[in-house]
Amino acid sequence: MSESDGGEASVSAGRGETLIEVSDLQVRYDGGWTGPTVRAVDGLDLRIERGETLGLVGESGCGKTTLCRALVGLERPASGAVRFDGTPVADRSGADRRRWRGDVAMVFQDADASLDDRLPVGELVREPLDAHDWKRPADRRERVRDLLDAVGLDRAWERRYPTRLSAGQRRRVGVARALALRPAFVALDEPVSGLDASVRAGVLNLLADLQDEFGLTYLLVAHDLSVVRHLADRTAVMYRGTILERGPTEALFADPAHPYTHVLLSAIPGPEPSSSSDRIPLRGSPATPTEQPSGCPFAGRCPAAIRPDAHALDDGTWERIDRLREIARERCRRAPSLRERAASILGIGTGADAADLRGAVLDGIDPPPAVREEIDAAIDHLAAGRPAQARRFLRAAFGSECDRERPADHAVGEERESHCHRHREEFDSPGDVLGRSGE
Amino acid sequence: MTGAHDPDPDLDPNPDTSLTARVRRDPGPAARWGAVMAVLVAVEAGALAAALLSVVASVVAALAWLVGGATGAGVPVEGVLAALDGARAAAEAVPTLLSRETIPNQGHRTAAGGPWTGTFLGLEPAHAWALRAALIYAYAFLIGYWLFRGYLVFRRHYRAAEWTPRDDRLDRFRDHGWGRFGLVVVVLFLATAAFAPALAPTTPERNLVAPCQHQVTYYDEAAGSVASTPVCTANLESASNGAGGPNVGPLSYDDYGRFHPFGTLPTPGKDLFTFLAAGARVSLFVGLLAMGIAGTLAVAFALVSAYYRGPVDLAAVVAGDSVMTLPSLLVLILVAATFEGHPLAEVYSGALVVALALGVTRWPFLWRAIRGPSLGVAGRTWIDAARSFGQHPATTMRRHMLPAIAGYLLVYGSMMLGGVLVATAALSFLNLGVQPPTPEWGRAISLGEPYVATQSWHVATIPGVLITLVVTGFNALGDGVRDALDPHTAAESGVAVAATGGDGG
Repeated sequence: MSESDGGEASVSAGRGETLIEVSDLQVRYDGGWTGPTVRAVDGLDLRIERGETLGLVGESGCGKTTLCRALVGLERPASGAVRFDGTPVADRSGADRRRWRGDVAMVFQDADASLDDRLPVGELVREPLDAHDWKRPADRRERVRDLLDAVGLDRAWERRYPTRLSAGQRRRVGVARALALRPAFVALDEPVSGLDASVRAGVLNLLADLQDEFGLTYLLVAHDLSVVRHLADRTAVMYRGTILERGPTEALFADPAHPYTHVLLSAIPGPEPSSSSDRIPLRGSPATPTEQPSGCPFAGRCPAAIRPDAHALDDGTWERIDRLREIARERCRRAPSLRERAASILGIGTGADAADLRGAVLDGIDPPPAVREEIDAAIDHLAAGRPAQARRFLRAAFGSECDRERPADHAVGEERESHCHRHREEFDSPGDVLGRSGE
Repeated sequence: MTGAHDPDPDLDPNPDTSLTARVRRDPGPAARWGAVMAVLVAVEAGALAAALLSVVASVVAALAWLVGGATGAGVPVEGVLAALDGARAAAEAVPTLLSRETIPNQGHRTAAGGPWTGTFLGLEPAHAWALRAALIYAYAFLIGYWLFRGYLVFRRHYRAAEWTPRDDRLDRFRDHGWGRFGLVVVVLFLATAAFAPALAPTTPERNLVAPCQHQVTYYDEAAGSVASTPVCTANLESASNGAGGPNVGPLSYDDYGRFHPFGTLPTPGKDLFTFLAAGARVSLFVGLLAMGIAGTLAVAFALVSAYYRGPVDLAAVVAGDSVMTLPSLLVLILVAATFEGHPLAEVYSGALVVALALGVTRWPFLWRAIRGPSLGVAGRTWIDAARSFGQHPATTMRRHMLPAIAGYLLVYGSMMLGGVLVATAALSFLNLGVQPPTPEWGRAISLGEPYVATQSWHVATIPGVLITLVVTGFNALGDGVRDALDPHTAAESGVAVAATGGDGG
């Protein structure tokens, strides 16, 4: 390991060994004195092999960007560790940490805001070199030109300002700057979002070429699943700050294991309009991760959630119960109005609310009396302004493994893992339940 | 706006050439500009060298005083100072175009109603003075314009980048009438301060500081001959003392054939224009030093607190708010009274203490004004980007945050400068702060205040109007710069309406 080249060759090449290892990582955003603490990354484990591209998919707000930022040292983990080349990042300090900064880089999602619009392109690309005192100034100028060549920008652009560049060109400048110090690892946060199709293909091919040329390791974050499928060797599916499923990209796309992966993949529009009928609907809205779930983070919205054996109910009834639980969850999240608070203190329910809820939940179904009693009790809690109690009550009455235990890692294929209770032998697999077993 | 063509044939294919190499390739425009600039400098070379040497001498003396104070032992700099003084005298002996020696306005008649002698081409003193003053202001504007022209030449012929964000801001300012008005007033003020000794009808030394050691030659009508008397005696005879007393109003001569563009002050009857011109220097010194201190503190607090936030920000807020709660004028009065007799209060007749006190008490206001933009720029992703590749925090603040707030600093700094001038004048009005014989505008107002309703109305009114004008000028300049930086606010105030109105077709 030679440090003399400014970190250029400090990370020895060689595919197949672990470059980045994340164990039980927690990143929280403090909500200040009044707001709740957001658990953006919540107990996440991840391994990135040297030279590979790991795709990361998941809905907005699930913590993908936060994970990227944590990997390049922009977020301080609340607990857990990020290891780079075997050394915990938190243990690096001073000059060692600065050297490590040159080994990792990030291409930011917002190319506009990540380039200082008061500096010309050449200065922007050169800045990491200056910050690390890379060789001599003449070499730095040479390097900037090489980088601009590498990302397909004419060297004449060196003196243009970012405001005069197109979105694709700005993205290329961001890539050039990220590669300036020849990092071993680059976090690509939505590198092609907002670009039109031809530019997108250009940037993606560029990224692939650069990886071949420099032996880079990528973490590729994208909304667009086709981008990940095109570029990633392995893919991880993220939900509420944690990884639900991971595996080789082709296998994962061809035969999803986790119910959430099923949902995500079903949302890809097919070539024919009719195929959209395969889409699995997702209930509720993505939860703001302010509290740690006691069970599976996806339990509340899972279309394949395990039903407890205690009640033998038909699907229609379960749907209504799920709806009631969703209402309770929503009410927990939003701050209660003054009237609701007063009603809660006085211990009186608002009759109209209770009647509305009953109508919404019980209309058209006829549950057994025991179940009906439980539902009535939960509605009373809700109407009296005690949503937290209603939630606890409903969980006790209708919850299952999904609500109580965090699912273990289940090996679901070669180098594949999925966190779902349905992979246990006693349950039907998610694919069977959703009617979409591997085709 | 030039289009962003790609590829651009105008663009230098080899971006590595230095400025000197670019100038060497096409020396024409630079040579033409440089020739004119050289002429402009040459006609005032003596005065420029003298000014430079006197600044150097002041710095040497101040450093010697500081070092001597710290070590308790005197530092032998007398030799150096004497050498500097000699060099300055030599530089002053070099004739300059805009000096009172070249265009003298002090002379006397040789007989009653007879021709003038000693003045430029035998002109009346008023005309000679007016000519010199007009030339000086013209020269000041010419120098200013030529420097700007130099930037345009650089931009057009030698700048590597074809366009920078600054270009648009500059163009916006050039279209801003109110801002241009402010710029004119500020240039007039700066020229008055810079050329004070040459601009006034007489020198501060002769008229204000040591009038009894200088003689004035005049035609004595009673005796019917040319006579000579000390300036202090002549001043006493030509004071403006309000109703019933003697009065020399604006644009008039006194009995000694001296022209007073703004009239004279009350007993001992100094020349008001000379007083105000010299006072402009003091005001400028106090204003720039105070704003320099306030600006440095404000920028340091703004950058550090915006970059680190959290407890650092809270500490800065508490510190700033504590200073802001102090009643400013009372603190100034306290400081002025406390430092009475202190060696520091002797520097520039107390102007230094006033400037320090104003700088230390005013920074939180400036800091508050630039805090928002600092927090805004600190939240941009490019700060995170700099952090991600390991840029030093200090470099990040200097390269990525300071340029974004520099404009706001200029805007609020120029507006606050007006407040500093008013505060300095207010202290002088209360006979605190800058002490005689060093002139200060506020003292002129204070001296003339009893006579506002009399024939000597000019004593307080003219400096009052001038302060208002200068403060308005600095505010207008600040307005113009702000609208140039941030076209959105300009659009709200209707300035941009004319610019966008033509786009309808």
